[in-house]
Amino acid sequence: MSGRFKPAVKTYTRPVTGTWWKENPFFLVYMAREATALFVFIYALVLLSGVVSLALGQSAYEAWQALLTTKTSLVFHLILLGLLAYHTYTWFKVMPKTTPQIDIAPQTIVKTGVLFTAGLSVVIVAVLFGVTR
Amino acid sequence: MTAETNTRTIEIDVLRYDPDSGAPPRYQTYTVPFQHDTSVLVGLQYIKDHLDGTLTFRWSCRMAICGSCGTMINGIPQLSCHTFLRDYWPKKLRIDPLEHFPIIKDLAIDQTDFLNKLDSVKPYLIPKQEKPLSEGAYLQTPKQMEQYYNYSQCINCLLCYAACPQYGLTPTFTGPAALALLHRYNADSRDVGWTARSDVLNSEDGVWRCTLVGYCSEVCPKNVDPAHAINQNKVNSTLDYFGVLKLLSTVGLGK
Ligand code: SF4
Ligand code: FES
Repeated sequence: MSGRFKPAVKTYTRPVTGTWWKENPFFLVYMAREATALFVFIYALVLLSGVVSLALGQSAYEAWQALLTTKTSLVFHLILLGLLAYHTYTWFKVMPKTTPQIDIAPQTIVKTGVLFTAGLSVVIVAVLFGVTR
Repeated sequence: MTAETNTRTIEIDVLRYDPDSGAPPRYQTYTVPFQHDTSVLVGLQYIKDHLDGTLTFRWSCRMAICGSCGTMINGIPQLSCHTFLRDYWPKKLRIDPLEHFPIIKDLAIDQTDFLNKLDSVKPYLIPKQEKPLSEGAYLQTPKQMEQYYNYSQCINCLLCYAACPQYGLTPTFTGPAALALLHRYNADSRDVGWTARSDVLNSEDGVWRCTLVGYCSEVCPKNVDPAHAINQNKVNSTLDYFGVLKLLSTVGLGK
């Protein structure tokens, strides 16, 4: 950055390596947060393929539904569920850093967010279960 | 136990860089005697006084308040006066200059980039109107002071910059401490400088360069919490973009 202070004439600049995130456990956790976002995208593709198959007609949609009930798909969805749950948690974990200066303990903000989301998820699953039975 | 029997020795690898030779930095190992209360800084001073007078490093207060003695200790940005050799013994210890800054000599880094960034955030009160001294102090309630108090505790030690991978990858990023100080003044009830500072805050290199790694707040020795200062201002920056901030201030809310 240019400005009124001038840098030292002779210095040595160390290069930033592509592996900087492997050097500190804190950065590994950060990268896990960022990497699990990819699976949110993958699950969005799964849902999108359902919409596309619906547009293609009944037989395509039924084939898509059949695909979802295969064992491979169930295992895949369980893994996705775990990764997405973790990704969701990471968002609540950073939530206290985004609030204005308030008198609520950071841990309370995180816990409230996680409990609210978990509760809401249970309600949605229960409603869906009731509707689709 | 006597002081004599209390003394142990530890090996310290220090990164050396000599601008005169210009050769790439290399590690040099020193064996340093220490006691229970020997800080890493005192270890470095021992090297300079007894083993190698050419070793260069910065320090002043030796009590975690001047902010000059920051180094990477085993890869973690820390104040060397606030870190103790006993916690590393019997293993070796590695000391590097603060990450992401150019090295001037050995452990002394060039902070010019930070100084210019600090300058750019106008780190001083911009009052609505200057009043003469005879009118007395600008008053403030404890609640109003709470809004900025922790951000005003920054000692410019730059540990947060060494902890920030975004600063390492994109050195034009205004960075944790400068943005925390920007917020320190914006959040002050006596200040009306939001507009004067908004170019820096709203820019790509302002709060939006941050991806909330959050390590800056972990390493900060003064609990300044720069990650909090930056990320609450992503909200403010968005409100500013949509003109909501201005609306809020006309009805006496926000700033
Ligand atoms: S915010 Fe904390 S770590 Fe960063 S310069 Fe200030 S005191 Fe040091
Ligand atoms: S010598 Fe002043 S902070 Fe360490």
